[in-house]
Amino acid sequence: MRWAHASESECLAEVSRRSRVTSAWRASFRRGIPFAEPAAGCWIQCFQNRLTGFADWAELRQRFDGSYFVVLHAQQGVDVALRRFSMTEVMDLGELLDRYEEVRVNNNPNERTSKWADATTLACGNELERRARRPVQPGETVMCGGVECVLERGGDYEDAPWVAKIGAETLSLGEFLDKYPTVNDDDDDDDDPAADIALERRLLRPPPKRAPFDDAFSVDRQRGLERAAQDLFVPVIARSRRERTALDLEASAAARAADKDDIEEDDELWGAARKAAAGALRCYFTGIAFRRPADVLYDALIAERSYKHWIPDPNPVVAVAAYVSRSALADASTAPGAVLAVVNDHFFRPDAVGRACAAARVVLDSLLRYHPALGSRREATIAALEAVDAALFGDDDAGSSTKWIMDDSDRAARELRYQAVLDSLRDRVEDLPDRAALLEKSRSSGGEKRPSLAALDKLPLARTARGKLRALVATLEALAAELGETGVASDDLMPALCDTLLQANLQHPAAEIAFAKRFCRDEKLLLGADGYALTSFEIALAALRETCDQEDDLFVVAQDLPERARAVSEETPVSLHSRQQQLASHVWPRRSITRP
Amino acid sequence: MGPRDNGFKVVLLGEGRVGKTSILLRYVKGEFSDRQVSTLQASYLDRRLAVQDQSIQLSIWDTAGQERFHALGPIYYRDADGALLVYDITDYSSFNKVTKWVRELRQIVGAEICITIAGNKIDLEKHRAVPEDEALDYARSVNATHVYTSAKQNKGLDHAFLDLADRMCKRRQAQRPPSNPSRKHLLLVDEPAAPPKPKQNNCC
Repeated sequence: MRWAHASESECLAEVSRRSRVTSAWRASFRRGIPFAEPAAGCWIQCFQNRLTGFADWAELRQRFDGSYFVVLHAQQGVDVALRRFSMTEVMDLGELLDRYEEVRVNNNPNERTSKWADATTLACGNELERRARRPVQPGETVMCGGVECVLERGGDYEDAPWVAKIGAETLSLGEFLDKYPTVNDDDDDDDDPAADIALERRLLRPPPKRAPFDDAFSVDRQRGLERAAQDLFVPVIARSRRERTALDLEASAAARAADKDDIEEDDELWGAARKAAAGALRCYFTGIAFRRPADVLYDALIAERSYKHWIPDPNPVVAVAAYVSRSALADASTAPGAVLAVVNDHFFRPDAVGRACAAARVVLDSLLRYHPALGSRREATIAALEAVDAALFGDDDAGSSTKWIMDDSDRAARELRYQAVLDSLRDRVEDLPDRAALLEKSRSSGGEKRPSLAALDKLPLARTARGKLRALVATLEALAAELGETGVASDDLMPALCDTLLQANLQHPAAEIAFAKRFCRDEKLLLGADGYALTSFEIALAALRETCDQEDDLFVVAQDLPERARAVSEETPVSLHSRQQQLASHVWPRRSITRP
Repeated sequence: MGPRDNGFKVVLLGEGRVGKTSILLRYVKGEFSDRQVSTLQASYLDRRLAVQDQSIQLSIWDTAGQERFHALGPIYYRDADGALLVYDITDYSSFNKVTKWVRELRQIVGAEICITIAGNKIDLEKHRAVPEDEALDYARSVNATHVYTSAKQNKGLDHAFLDLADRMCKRRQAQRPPSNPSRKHLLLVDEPAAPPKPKQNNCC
């Protein structure tokens, strides 16, 4: 796997070398097509190391910044008869070299025989950018052979093919590329010299180098990334969805507890921050942990490469930790983000140096609580602290309004903040076994589980509507038996049922009920006890949903919680269902990172 | 015969503490005192009754009296044939609730649902808070039957359910011509009245 980490020029040289070697062996089959040096636009034949099947093809392309990538058209499996390239993949040249032992540059793009008019829109767009040596936006004017030409989209819809307008003539992009071999905007010099300097710089810049990797990353890049990310950023105790849900419930319980805590009344701001933190706890466990961990790590590494002004420790751990902290703090829908928003709005007054430390502690607390992995390694913790620092005190380009606060007593404040981190860490460590024990208890208490809960556990296991109805009736009967021997009235049964449903922590309660209801074909059943059980569950679910929404108001300390936090908490009520909907519809804020 | 030809669903509605559960419990005991009673039968009850020379099955569904569950009433009422609305004659507000439910039932289930209004706790006649005339007038105005019951003294329960069952039976018979109850489901359009006979010389 070493070519993936080699520089681009090395990779190109290797392609050239392999082409020469391969051509000698394959030439007899390929009717002596002459050797060509790899260049942008050329096709590379990639031979599988086997006798059956056809060669895969890769097209070498060049980005506007001069770096290369390949579009691989591969056959999936050995499907000789169909002779179809069923898989298209974009990758770096190094990855291609790693994957195929034998590659051969097959043609010289400068002797291109086919017309651009026949090429795909994507290929044309790529070629245009390659010729223009910069990204071209729709509606832009370019000079081609001394003629002014407007490039724009041919329709109103997204991804409409481009057209080129030259005078009264309208050409498709392919025709335009065929007609005018060069695109240059040298004439624009006078218009925007700064842009030109920037362009020059970009062109002069050497191709991006890959960050050095740990040993862990060089074994198998993709898998290694994933593993490392999982270790780092999925909370240890919350791997499965169910466990995360449990954590969520726990978080809301913690919010309740935090609300009841005695808040130091003498320090008004400190109290407000505590309350804000308690309120923000209800903003769910929507940390980065919910994203695909590999995605996060990948983004972080890309960010590390592409943001020149932000070069953290090359150690990926730090990079990722910083990224996670930053994105958690930048997104107001996460708990740390909400806390930061509140704290930023209300803490900074001229005399606030001491309180700034308290603020840092509050923010850190919530950050570490939601991303416990950040506290598990020293480098990660320090990166998190830096991120909080940056977010609070404007070290980076984001919020520089409060930078002046730290100027005079920087060092003392910093010490205090580190102390705060250590405190949080200690709290966290003390906190952790309890949590684990709690989860363990709920998981392992199968032996002494209440019969109703045990019966309800069978609900998801039933595969038919009849089976599910049976499980529902069994649950109700067990519940009634638990409540009293002579029989229980609906008045007592329903609240107990709600309670049981909450405790059972079913993954998709509504779906189970809907399934039973939809697929029960015997109307007689729905009239009888099965129907009664079904209806009871339906009502309990609906009642729970409503109650969750109502109880949400209980936690809002209306007069103390600043408007912004309240807005955040109103947007994100605590019910499981709305959380799921929210997660489904939520668009994660991303930095503008372009992937290679 | 359709599946519901002799099955009837009756919902039991009433504010908390008016005694609807007592009614159900008493009704259960009156019938099944010497048999094993399912634990669920205080809130859900299956009962066979002989009405108009036929055996019918009554499914009586108890509903939770708490306000937050009653807001979800329509889920309970769905497909109900009859409703027993219980109020406490010593509590006027429980009677007010009854009027609310009648309105809701008529709105959601329609006019075909048979309603019986039961004034419970008739043994506490001397503490009566709901005037008898008003209750009877109201029941007549909404086309419901009014009965007095006492779960404590086991008065009027059998009568209430029998009467309700009787009316439900009549209503169903009126809705479906007894000769061919499932005719409307087999309505054929653009087809000859008598389908051609299947070939009979088809064996090998």
